[in-house]
Parts: sequence; C-alpha cells; structure tokens
Amino acid sequence: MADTIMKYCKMATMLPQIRTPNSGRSQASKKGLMPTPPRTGSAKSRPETGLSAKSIKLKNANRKEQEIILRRERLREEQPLLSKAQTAAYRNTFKHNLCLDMLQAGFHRAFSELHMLMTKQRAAREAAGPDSVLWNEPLLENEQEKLESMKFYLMEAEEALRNGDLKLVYKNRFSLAQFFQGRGDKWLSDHFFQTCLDVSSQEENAEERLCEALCFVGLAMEENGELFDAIERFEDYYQLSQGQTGWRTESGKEFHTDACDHLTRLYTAVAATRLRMIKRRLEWTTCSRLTTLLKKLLISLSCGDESQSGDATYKLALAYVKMEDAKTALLYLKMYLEICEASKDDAGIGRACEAMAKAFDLEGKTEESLKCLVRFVEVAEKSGQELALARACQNLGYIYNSRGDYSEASKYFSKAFSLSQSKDSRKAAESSSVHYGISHALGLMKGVKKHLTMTGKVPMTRIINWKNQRQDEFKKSISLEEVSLERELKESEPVNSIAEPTELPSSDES
Amino acid sequence: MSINPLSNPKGVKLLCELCQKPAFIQCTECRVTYYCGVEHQKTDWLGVHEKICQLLIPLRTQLPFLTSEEERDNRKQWLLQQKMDLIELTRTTGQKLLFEGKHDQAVPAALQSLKFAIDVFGLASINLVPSYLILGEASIGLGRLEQAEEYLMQANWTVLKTPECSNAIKSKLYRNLGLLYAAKGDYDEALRQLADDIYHSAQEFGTDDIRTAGGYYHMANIFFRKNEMAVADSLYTRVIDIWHKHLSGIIKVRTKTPLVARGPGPVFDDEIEEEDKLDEAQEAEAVQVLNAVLDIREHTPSDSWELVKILHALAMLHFSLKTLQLETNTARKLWKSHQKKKVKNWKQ
Repeated sequence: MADTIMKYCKMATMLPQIRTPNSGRSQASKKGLMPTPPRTGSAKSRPETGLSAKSIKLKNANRKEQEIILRRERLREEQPLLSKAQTAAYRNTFKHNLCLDMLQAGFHRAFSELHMLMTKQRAAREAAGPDSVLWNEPLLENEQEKLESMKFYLMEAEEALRNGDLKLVYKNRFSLAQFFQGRGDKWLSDHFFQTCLDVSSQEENAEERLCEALCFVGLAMEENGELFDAIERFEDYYQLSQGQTGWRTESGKEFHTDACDHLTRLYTAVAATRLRMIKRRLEWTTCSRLTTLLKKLLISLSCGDESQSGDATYKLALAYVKMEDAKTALLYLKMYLEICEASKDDAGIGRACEAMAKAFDLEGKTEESLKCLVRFVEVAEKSGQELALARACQNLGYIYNSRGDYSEASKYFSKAFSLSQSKDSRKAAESSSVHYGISHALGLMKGVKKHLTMTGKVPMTRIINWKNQRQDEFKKSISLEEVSLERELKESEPVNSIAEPTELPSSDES
Repeated sequence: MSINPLSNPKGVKLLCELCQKPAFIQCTECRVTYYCGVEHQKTDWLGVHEKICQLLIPLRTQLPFLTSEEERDNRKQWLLQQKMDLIELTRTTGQKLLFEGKHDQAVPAALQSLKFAIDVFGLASINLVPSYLILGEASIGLGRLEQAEEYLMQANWTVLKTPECSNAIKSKLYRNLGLLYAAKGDYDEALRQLADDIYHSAQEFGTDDIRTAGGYYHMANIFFRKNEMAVADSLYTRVIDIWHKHLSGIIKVRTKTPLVARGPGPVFDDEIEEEDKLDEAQEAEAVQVLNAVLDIREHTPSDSWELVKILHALAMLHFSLKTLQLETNTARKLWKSHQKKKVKNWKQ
C-alpha cells in the first residue's frame, strides 16, 4: 500500500515539472519552478533522494507511513552511492554494457565486428528454424566469458591497428581464433582465422604469418568440406614457403614439409572421390582432372618419403590405364617398379606387374603381358601372399582364355578358386568359379561343335553319353574321339541329321 | 490578486503564446493567438506561426453547437486528426530550422508541437520525446545548457519509463545528451552517452549506416578535443568511409544508363533501383560533417588518400544536391590534390 501511495506522491511531484518548461523560457530560470532532474531507474534502487522530495513525502504521509519512509531512508543510507555509469550497468544487459565500454574508449571497429558476429549468429539461427541444432545453441550475447575475451583481444587488436602495428593485430586475432578453436566454436575460430589472413596479406614482409594463416584457413575449409578452396589456400602456402628453411611450426616442422603433407592429404582425398566417380561412370574429363591432380600430388610428395610417392605414382598409372593411355601408364609403372625394387617391396612389385600386364594387354601385346603376369605369380608365391596369388592366377586365366587356350585357363582359374576359398574370400571365390565354368564350357564347345557337325552314330552316342554323365565323359571323349571321328566322316553320309542336332544344342546352351 | 485588462471579457485570461504572461496584442490573421508584445509575436511568426496560423482557428474557437451524437463524434475525430497533423508539421519545421542552424527560431515550433502532443497523448507519453529533443537541441545551440539538460532529462525519464521505446528514439536522445555533456565539458559522460547512441543506432540501422555515422562523428570530435588524435583519426576515417559509400551508391543509381530498347516493343525495365534519397536533414548533416572533417584533414598532416576520399565524397554530395558551382570547386581541388600527391589508380 505504502509503496503505491509513494509512487503517486512521486507522480504528483513530477507533474508540474512538465508544465514549467513549456510555460515559457523566461520563467524557467527561476529556481523554484525548476523540476528536479528525474531520478533514473525505479524508486527502490535509488539511494540518492533529494532533501526536498524527502520532506514533501514526510509532510504528506501520516505517522505510520512516516516510520516506514524513515526506515527505508536509513536502509538506503547504508548502501553506497552509485554513479550514473554504475546504475546504467545495473540496468542494462551484459552485452549492452560491454559494447558501451568498448565504444566509450573509442574502439568502434571492435564494436562493429562484435555486432556483426552477433547479428550473423541470430540470422543463421532464424534461417535454420526452431527445429534445428542451431536453435538450441546458446546465443553469443549470453556467453559472458566469450564476450569478455573477445572484447579484450579485439580492443588490443584495434589499438595495435591504430598504431600501425599489424604484427600485433595478427597476434591478437590469432590468439582469439585459437581460444575459440579450443572451445570448439568453429564458426568463430573460422572467422578470426580469416581475419588473420586478411591482416597478414595486407602486411608487407610477413610471409611467415601469411603462411600460418593460410594453413589454418585451409584446415578450417577442409573441415567444412570445401576441399577445393582448401587446396587453393594450401597451394599458396606451398608456393610461399618454398625455399624457406627457417620457418617452422610450433612442433618444429618446416613450413614447406607441412604444406606438402597437407596438400598430399587433400589431393589423396579428392583423388579418392574422383576415383569413385570414375568407377561409377567413366568420364574422360574427370580422369584427366584426376591425372593433373595426381601429378600435383607427386610434386607435393617430392619432400615426403619414398613409399608415399610410389603409391601416388601407382595411382597415377592406374588412372592412365583407365584413360586407356597405355604408354604413359607404362612409363609411370616402370618408375613405380623401380621404386619397389629399390625398397624390396614384394607387394608393390606384384601390383606393378599386374598393372603392367593390364597396360600391355591394352596395347595388344599379349606376350609381354603374359610375362608380367608370370612374374607377378612368382613374386606372389615367393612372398606367400595368397590373395595376390589368387588374383594373379585369375588374370593369367583371363589371358589364356582370350588366347583360346582354355585348358590352361581353366587350370589357373581352378587354382585361383581354391586359393581364394582357402582364404575365405567369398567374392573372389565366386568370381573365379564362374570364370572356371566359362573357360571350361568354352573348352567343351569346340568338341561339341565338331560332334554336332559330324552326323553318324558314334558322335551322337558320345554326345548323349556326355549329356548323361557330364564331366567324365567329356574328358575321355576328346582324346579318344579324334581318330574314330575321322573314320566316321569318310564312311557315313548325313541322313537324318536335321532333327537331332537342333534338339541338342538347345539343351546344351541351357 | 491579478489585474485583468478591461478590454478582455471578464473571467477570460489571455496569455502570451510564448511566455504565458498576460497578453496585450492579438494576431490579426487568426484572431485566436495573443502575445505580450510585438517582440514575441515576431519571433513566433518567423518560427512557426506563419505556417500554422490558419490551422489554429478551428482548434481554438468555441465548438459550434451540434445536435446529433454522431456529428459531435465526427467533429471530435476531425479535431484529433487536425492536432496530429499539426504535431507533425511543427516538428518538421523545428527540425529543419535546427539543421539550418537557426536555433532561436526553432524554439517556438518545438514548443507548439509539445503543446499539441501533451494535449493529444497526455503528459507521460513517449510521443512527447521528439519535441523535447528538438527543444533540447535548440537550447544547446543557444548555449542555454541548464535548460537543455532539463528538457533532455525529461525526455530521458520518459524513455526510461517506456520499455518498448524504439531504438531510433533512444539513439537520438543519447546523441543529444552526449552533445549536451560535450558542451558542458564533461567529456567522459559525453562519450558514454554517445556510445549508447551508437549502440542503439547500430541495433536499429546497422553499424555502417549514415544514421549511425553521426554518433561516430560526434565521438571523434570529443576525442579530438581531448587530444587523443589516433582515436579521433580512426573515427573520422570511419565516418568518411560510411558517407563515401553511401554517396557512391546514390551516384551509381543516378548515373546508370537506362535500358535502350532492342527491336520493336516497349522496354521492360524490371529492376528500377529505388534511389535512397537523402532527406533535408541528412543533406544538411552531410554537408556539415564532410566539410568539418575536410577542414581538420587539411590542417593536420594526414594521409593524402584520406583527403582525396573526402573530396570525392564532397563532390558526389554536391552533384547529388545539384550545387554545380561547389561541385566544380571541389572537383578542381580534388584534381589538384590528385596531381600533387600522384595518387594512382584513382577513378574519377
């Protein structure tokens, strides 16, 4: 009750003040009619009440109320007097005060940046809608610690900018970025790394810092999945750091090697996606892009270790094989073979032989490709790599198959089958069993055809026999038949050949 | 005991429009406005009365007797609308006079607008604040700081009591308060108020709007007076950047070649870009700010690039204001500094 009365009292004292300014300027100078400057804020938090107001209140109130008012006065006097800034700080939000502090000291750029970040976050949140992950993330303006540190570093940076000390600007922004990186605030750390990059690119003779910034921006982009932009940054980094042996990262790594490592990783990643694309549908353009990429990869690897560059060479050769450019592929494969031989890498030699065989096959040099495959088998046997051996056998099988040497082919296929079955690799076993079947059938075709063309009793019975008891009959029949068939050919004339052969091939085919 | 002039009807106290003292003369045009002397009448006439003289008649004469409820209601509505229009009119008049630097003439208009605003909205309404602000600014201009403080505090109090008050009004209020403290020489407090101004303005318009630039400019002036040149310099640069960008935008729209018809048929100009024109107040502000900064830059050793940028902005401003003489002058200056400093890659 007393409170409301007091409010009305205050209102009543307030009312005439408004009249006075309107009622003319000549009177306004009179002290008596001057309004007391309105106390900002609510009545309770205001310790500083003017004497006149107090006396008016005391006069108007009755005894009980007087006591209450007096007690309140006492309590207020115990509180310290607050300055205008302090009351404002009490009234405003944390963010508001922080911004005011910055602006008051003249740090307008820092304020703008902070404001921009906050509005950006808000906009992103609004765009994502209330169902998204972003919606539940705390707003920047409510995170006091982050705001404090941002204020500190940004103000330092702006101070440095005013003095023209770009190095210090960079340093501050960099530590801010690292601070947010440590917190897992990716978008913030990305922003500050980007500004680091901007600052260092403006600075003269600051290639070292530029490199560092490029590296971090590149990494951030890679994390966001913007691989090509990241590659661009790292390529710049590579160019800049070339020949600078003095520049080292915190862990003591040379910048140039660092760039190479990052580039290698990115190139490999991109190459892998490209390869996947190629597997799905063979496109010459993607292939050619892939090869340029891999060439770059080789360059980036020039400062890395041998095994990796060998790997890249192999991939490059494979890409050329895919593009059906056998000559270039062979060139790279030979390089790869040399590398492998030097490092006594049997698996590598095997792979090289295999790929070379393919390349030779493309060129139409079957002999060469056979040689390679035989070597592959040798190597694989020597090193005891059963899977590789199985693959080699299968490849040999293909070649023999294509040359029409079906018995050899089926031999190798059956070997491949048994090998892969023992290794428990079902897919390989299945494919080799199918191929075994094909080569076997192809081998049979010759004999069956011959028998079909030769009418007479003997071939007919043999075919029937073979039909009844598949495998055994076939093996025997080939060797035995040659002689008897020829004899039959001379004697008998075709009589009723039309009805039976038409029946037989159809059953054979099925 | 008060003396009533015999010529007046008994019981009616005629008060001066400006000072509320007993009035002795009457405006012959409208016959509803009274003054204590010729001096006040003249001031009022120059300030605002010339514009609103005839509009005051229906408001101040006695209501005609109307028989039906409906008619009375209509009459009421009409009067209210009339008052609202008057508030608007008097405010713009006051504002314009302020920007022209005629602080003393702005006072009657502002008082008039305040009177109507109180009449329509009541005493504690937020709608009174613009009038208070005009009054405050005029008082600062006239050097009556105590009075200015009084008005601004009143505005401040109203704003504080109205939590839903818009950022634009707050920004304006804090800017005026900042100017007040600056005039008083209390630079720290002035900075605090201007910071508040920039904060609210940024909330409303963004950090790089020309409406926010005013805050930066005043702040720069204070730092300049405090002799903190580095800060002032960076703030001036910022102000110039903002204006330069804005003016470039305007010029770009204005000098855009219109589409030429290709073949028969009408031209379909789909994207007619709306040119964001400067209003009177902004024009005045631009002229003032740019010239002031130019003056400072010319008298202190500064980056030639900055100077060229200001001159370019000024030239664009004069172009958009169509003040050809000044434009050519500025362009000549620009050309000179261009020659002298050999700034490369400068497109004119």
